[in-house]
Amino acid sequence: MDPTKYLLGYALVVLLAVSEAFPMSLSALIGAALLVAFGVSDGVISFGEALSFVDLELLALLVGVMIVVEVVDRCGTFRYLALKVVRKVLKRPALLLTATGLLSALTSLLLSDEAALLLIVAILLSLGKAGGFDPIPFAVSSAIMVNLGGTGTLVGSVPNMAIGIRAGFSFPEFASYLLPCEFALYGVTLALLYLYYRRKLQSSGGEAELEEIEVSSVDVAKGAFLLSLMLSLLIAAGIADFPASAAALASAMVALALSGFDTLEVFQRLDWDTVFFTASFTVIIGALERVEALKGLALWLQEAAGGSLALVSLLVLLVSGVASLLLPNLIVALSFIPVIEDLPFADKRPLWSSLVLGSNLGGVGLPVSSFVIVMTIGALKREGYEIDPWAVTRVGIPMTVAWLAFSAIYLLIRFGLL
Amino acid sequence: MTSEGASAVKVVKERAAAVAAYLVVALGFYMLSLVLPPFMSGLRMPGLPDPVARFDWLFWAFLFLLAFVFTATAIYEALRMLDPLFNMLSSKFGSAVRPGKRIARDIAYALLVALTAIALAPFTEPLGQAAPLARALIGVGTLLILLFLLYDAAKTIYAYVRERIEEAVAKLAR
Repeated sequence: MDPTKYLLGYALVVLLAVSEAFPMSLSALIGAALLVAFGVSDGVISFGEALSFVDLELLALLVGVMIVVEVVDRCGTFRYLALKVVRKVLKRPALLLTATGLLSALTSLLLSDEAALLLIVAILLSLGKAGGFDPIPFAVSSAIMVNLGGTGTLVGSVPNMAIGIRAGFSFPEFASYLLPCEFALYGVTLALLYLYYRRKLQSSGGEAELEEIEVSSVDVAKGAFLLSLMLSLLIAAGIADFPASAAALASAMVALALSGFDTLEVFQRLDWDTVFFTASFTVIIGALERVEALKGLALWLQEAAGGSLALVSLLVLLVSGVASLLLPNLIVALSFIPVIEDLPFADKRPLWSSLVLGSNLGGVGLPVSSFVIVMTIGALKREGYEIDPWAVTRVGIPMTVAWLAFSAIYLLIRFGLL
Repeated sequence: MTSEGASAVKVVKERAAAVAAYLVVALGFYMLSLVLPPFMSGLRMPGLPDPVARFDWLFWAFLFLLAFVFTATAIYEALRMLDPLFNMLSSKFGSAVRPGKRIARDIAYALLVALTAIALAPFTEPLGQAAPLARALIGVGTLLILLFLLYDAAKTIYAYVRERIEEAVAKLAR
């Protein structure tokens, strides 16, 4: 079976998504329809089989986490905590950089990158407006830290969920492999950002004031409880060998029942574009697997590394990291999953971890690969700040190189590959 | 109709009239090139080889050249007439984006059209005797859309490169 037309269908989806010709979900739906049509006419896939390629466990985890996070966001918990922390360190620029950076990363562990960034940048811009405060170094740092945040947990990003589910990692297991690396990277990144921006950091001089926090403490507590419940259930599911998706859906049900918010309104605000993209793209990958179109990449990785697990892991990290510079990281993660499955190693934990790190860490180098960069620049420009469109890239590219280099060392040590 | 659409229609009407006029003139000269030269047969310039020595051939070449120039002008005007139409169509696909993104979109749409045609072709089999006709229609439709998309991509690349060159020349001239 010649897989050329199937690979062209895959390339079409990537091209449609990168050129923003259509929303991501529609691009993937078109690609899935084409590949299924090819498969049906070539007699290699039936329509029913194509539907079975949709990873329902992944979708359940994704939607469950989205519902809980949306409810917690509506409770105002994230905003309340962010304002509290920023207020404490307002007059100390180095601490403010650290605090906003950590807040960005930790918030994006749960919220989407865009939502986390909007939250932090909104606070930084209101600080900037309040008086004599240059928010650019802080906003750029936040964009970089948002990209870093969410690398270490199963629910931290959609690529993590996709990789974690296919790898069979529970929430605690996933965290045990990757959370130490993420926390170490926080330190490395904040130190590098401080070195880069130390001359540009300004104190508010006591003039800047933050707006009053207009959220009820009951709602904040409710949000904190729901978040803790979800995390506890995810950890418990890992210990009891229960699917993480079930824990996420259970948490979502509790969140909807307890919050008192209009369920339909919560549903309307979910990121359906990502849900439909994920569902459709898994069909595309399923079709590619059926015609063995991705086997070549697995073979190339294996041959290039001479069968060494350490070298293959580093190659996966490097290739997925570079690919994430140019492509949306979910596309990179979903495309690499069958490649890793095809590799003939008994212990694939280092390979899955490499893929998580590569697909998460590559996304801040270029504006084309990272919506958070475009958002940051747009938000600053709207407020009248002069910012070079490549300001984030100048920091992002060396940072990505540093992250990938650090991650390579981490993987070698963590999995005893030296 | 939008102002862009109205101005496009105006340009198309003007250019269509010009194309028709140039074609009529070109046809007229071509007819003359067939009718008039035989009246000069037998007249020759001394000391020159054929066919340039023959007055009938020289007269035919002169009239044919005029017909050719007016035909070329008509083609040029026809292309100018198509441009606003192409612009109207391509604006539907987001012409207000950066050139790189527009070219990427044109390539993506071209790939989409080509793959859709490939995917649809096997499903024409149940049409029986009408299947070859259906496949031909799919093929011709695909080709026309591909030509439009490739024309738009080529035009965007040309405009972009020309702009960069003009900028570079302006910088060098300073």
